[in-house]
Amino acid sequence: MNGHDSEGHAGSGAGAALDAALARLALEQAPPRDLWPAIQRELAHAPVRATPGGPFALAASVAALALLGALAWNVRGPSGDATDAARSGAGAGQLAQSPGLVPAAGGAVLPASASYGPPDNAAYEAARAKLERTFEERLDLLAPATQARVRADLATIRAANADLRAALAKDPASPLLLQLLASTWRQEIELYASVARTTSPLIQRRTRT
Amino acid sequence: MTLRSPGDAVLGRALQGDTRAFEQLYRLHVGRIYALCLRLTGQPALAEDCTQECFIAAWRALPGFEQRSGFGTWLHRIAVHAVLNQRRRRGARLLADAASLDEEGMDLHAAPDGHGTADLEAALARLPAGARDVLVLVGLYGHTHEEAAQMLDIAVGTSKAQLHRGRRLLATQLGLAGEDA
Repeated sequence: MNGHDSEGHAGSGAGAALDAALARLALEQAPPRDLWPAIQRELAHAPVRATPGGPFALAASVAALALLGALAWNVRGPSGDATDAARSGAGAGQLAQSPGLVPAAGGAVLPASASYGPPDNAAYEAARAKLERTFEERLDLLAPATQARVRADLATIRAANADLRAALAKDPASPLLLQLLASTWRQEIELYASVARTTSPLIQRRTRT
Repeated sequence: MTLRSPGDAVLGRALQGDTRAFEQLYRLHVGRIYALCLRLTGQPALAEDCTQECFIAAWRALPGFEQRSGFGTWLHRIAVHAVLNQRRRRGARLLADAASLDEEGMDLHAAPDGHGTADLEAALARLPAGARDVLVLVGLYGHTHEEAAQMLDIAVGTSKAQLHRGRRLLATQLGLAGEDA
């Protein structure tokens, strides 16, 4: 962060006065409240939690894990080193230390030489479509307010995904954009799986009665 | 990656998944990130959201951080991205409309020897978003035009033009002599 040019501004009286005024502004300000607790909650939130919830929850988790695994196999920065594959548990850090391996969502360990982006194979697309259908069916079981929140979250994730793809079209080698893009695919799948898990007890009760 | 300073050691621990180390990084950088977000969004609540989003995204992307740039610069990139995302999601009206600014929340602390900084902050907030973004990043936080252009997804020439425009508008608003600022 240096070497910005003032394009001849500083030499003028007005330019110098403006520079002096800008230099007096504080570059830091503490937020009105401590944001760390909310951030920490997000960090602690494992991408996919394999909570025991009966066969439906298990099926949803397995499907999500398979998809996340497929995603992670497609995740790699241009330099080929560590990726942003999700930190999914306490052992993730240690796994990342293994040469050529990176921790992935769901606790899988993956080769670091996979490529980036959404998987494009038919099996992945079919599994993803199935999970999305389940998501749509189960969403109706949730309270309207919750449905609205989930749909808003999904819209946000998809908008971010679209924005990132547009940005990548201009800067296809940006490691940061690639990582953020991968995280949007993952967040979408996690959202689907989360709804499936949450509604599994309801489905089970319906099945029993 | 060669770790040298105590700060590097904290970063190294965070890279290995240590959330306490990441909290230290958060404490170290949050003031600068929040102030940046506040100046770019003009709204304290949005600035808080963007700051949170920035650190969460940074945690997720941390394994890919290669230290080719400083951690602070890298965080700035993520923060700007968070602001741009917020702007797209909520619509430019929320951010571009100076009348909606929360004056109290925008009361950024002046440096101890500051004079008329409240006027300057208000004038900055009234700038068109494009000019304000570049002026804040380049003129205030010292990023190069290349860095600002990359963060804002604009051409380097556009960044230079927006800086010139922003300075001229700011000088006019502040009543500084001439418009060659």
